[in-house]
Amino acid sequence: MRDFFDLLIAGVGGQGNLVCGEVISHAAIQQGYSPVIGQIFGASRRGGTVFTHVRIADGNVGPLIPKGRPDLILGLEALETLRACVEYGGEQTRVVFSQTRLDTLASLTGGAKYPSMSDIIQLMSSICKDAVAVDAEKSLEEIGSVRTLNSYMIGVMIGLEITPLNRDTIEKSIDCLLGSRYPNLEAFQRGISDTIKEKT
Amino acid sequence: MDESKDNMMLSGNEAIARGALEAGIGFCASYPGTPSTEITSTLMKSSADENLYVEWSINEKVALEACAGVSWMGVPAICPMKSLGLNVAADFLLNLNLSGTGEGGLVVVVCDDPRGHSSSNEQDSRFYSKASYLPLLEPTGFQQAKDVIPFAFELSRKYEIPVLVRSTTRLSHSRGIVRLGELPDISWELSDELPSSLYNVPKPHLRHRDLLNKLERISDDFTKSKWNIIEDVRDADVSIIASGICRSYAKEAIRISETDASLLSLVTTHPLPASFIREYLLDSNQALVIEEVDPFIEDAILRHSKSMKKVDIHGKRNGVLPLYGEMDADKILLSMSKIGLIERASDKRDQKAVKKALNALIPRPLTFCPGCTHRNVFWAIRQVRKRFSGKLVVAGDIGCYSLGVFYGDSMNTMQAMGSGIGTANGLGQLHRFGIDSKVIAVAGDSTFFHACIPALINARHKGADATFLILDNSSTAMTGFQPHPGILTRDEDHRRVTIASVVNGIGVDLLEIVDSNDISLLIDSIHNAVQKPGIKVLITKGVCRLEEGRTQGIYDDLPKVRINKKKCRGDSCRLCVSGFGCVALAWDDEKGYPKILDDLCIRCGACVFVCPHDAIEGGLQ
Repeated sequence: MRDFFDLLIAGVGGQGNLVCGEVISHAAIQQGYSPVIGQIFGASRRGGTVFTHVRIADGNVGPLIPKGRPDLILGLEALETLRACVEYGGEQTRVVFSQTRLDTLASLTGGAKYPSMSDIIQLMSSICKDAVAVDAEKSLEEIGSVRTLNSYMIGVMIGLEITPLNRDTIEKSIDCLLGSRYPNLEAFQRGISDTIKEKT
Repeated sequence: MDESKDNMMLSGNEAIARGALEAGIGFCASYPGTPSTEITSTLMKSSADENLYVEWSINEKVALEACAGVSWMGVPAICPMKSLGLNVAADFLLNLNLSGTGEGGLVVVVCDDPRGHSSSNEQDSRFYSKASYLPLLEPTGFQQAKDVIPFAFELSRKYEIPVLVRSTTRLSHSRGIVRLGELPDISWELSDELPSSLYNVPKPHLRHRDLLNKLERISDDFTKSKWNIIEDVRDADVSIIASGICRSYAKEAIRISETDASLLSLVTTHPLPASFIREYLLDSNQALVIEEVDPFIEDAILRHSKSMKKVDIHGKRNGVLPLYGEMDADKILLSMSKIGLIERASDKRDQKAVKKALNALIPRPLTFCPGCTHRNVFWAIRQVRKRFSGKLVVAGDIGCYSLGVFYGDSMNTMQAMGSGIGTANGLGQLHRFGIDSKVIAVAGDSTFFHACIPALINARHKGADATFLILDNSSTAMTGFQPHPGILTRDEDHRRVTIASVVNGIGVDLLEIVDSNDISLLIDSIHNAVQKPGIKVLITKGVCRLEEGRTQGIYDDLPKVRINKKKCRGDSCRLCVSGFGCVALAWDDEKGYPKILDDLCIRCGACVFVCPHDAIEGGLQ
């Protein structure tokens, strides 16, 4: 049996979370898996928390990853990644997240305090196996579109070589699903090269 | 597995739509509602086919009535709706069950929303199958979501009654690989005449008797049904019965805990195939029933348990599973530990660390999109409320603007479609008892057509004192921009019915149409209307920025919105972020000034008006 892989994508409505799940599952299909994606839409477009469960498997699994069992939490926003860790993270879960900070209305009005990035990383690491914080801002600025953060983060994930997915199939999926309105392919490749640079 | 012509990644809703096409339907009528919407929108993509008609109806009751009409004349019809939609259609359903459907067959798909992800309740709509004595099918996965639909039509045609198919959010919105079947050539023929006696009088009780007899025969059919699958284990410690998407959670819990469990996936959940279940439980000492949300199957089994060999039935009634909320594998693992099947449900988590992190989390409530004109209207309502020293009640309704309840209490109530103006019929009569608050009712454009018109007529006729704001953004925005009668569509057969013409026809004490981009005008118009006696209607013309972005692109050519730091009072004011609260407006803690998030800002310029110090510049204003 091939290695199955449970991946949870965490972010805020409007960040391209659902599309991110579609790209990854489309790639998984090309590699012979029958993935199952658990997601919710509707409210998700109105600035709320969005979790997408991507289960790279043989089709015979449910839409939700059980608590403590994701292999990877891929985060598009810091606070929501921490929320995913609290709800789903476990001792074998690896966390890769963008340090993007999207305030809540309460944190803007001073009614609540957005936790510091160092606290967030520390809390993630206390629940999960490890946590990699990614600063995508500079690269995305150079590429010219912050709307490609999702593709960039998939690139980071591939660069870290922690999933059964490979670069070619993801590139094909981005090409097939996302079109050319935003430089997604470029962002994906930049995510890989930034990560490899970081490693060496 | 390859995603090829025959295997496709489909959501539960897309699978149901595909099943309807494979069943050879000729008609679909529906009102959008999460999580059911994509069934109809998927079918709409196929409606170029001349043998298929698909429409977004004005509400679920009209949709079901339309489906019955064509079904009587031989056309197979499907009527998808969300849980709460079935409440609207129930009046008709509980008559149609007795009258019967025609040769075409009629399938009602109801998508429930356990936990209320996009709903104001988490009702278990399966009780309608009991109330209406109709058969109910609950597919357990994506493949079955497709496959069960042609069977539902067979069943409907065989017994000449509507058949209910129930999905839930996690099936409707999740995706998996589905093996496609053939699309048939046209499989129905238009009848020459209606079936006889399509009315239940003068002896509805005898129609009831006949329906009960049908239900008994269906129960026999279900006892032999291939849809109910048993995965048996020798000397199992427990016999599990699961329905719907809960089957996948049950399998997961069995796998994780390595429990020796038999599993019955029950698809035909009403009427209960009692003798089949009796046989399944024959060698069991204990059973665990897993379903969402109510103990529907469990209660049916408990009712038959006297005729069963002694077996302990575990589930929601004896408290090992919760009676509310969404099911998942973790809750099942916990229930397994409660009945002693496994020692303790370990989720491999450091609970202390989880608790500590939980304390650091802050909530992220839903909010209006950047540039949403609903925010402008509610901001204006808040200013008007201040002018009346808080003496202003706002009865709300269902749609994106429901978020008004989270926006400084600018909307005070929210129940069913149409309930804003409905409850204003009572609130608006309290002046005779000396109420000192003014009354506003709020509804969206699609909601106006769906359920507000009788309430507005009643308010007019009875002289209620209220101001009715119709937030018109020319779209059913919440569910993905479906058209409604007030919108110009490209369909040549459609005739536009404007909200203003309806309101004018009813006749009100004041009707004004106000641009919701102009906050100053909004405040004055609302204030003026509220002060006047009688029933007043303001139609606020706004835009859905999501819809606009989709169809026209964003205002890239307008000047960027900027903060003028010379004029901004910084921390001593903060009105823009604390009061107005657009998500494209953030606060720079280090510098003590607001900042515009350019990637979110759509440059509508509403905040330019809101700033009392003229410190925000640019945008549309």
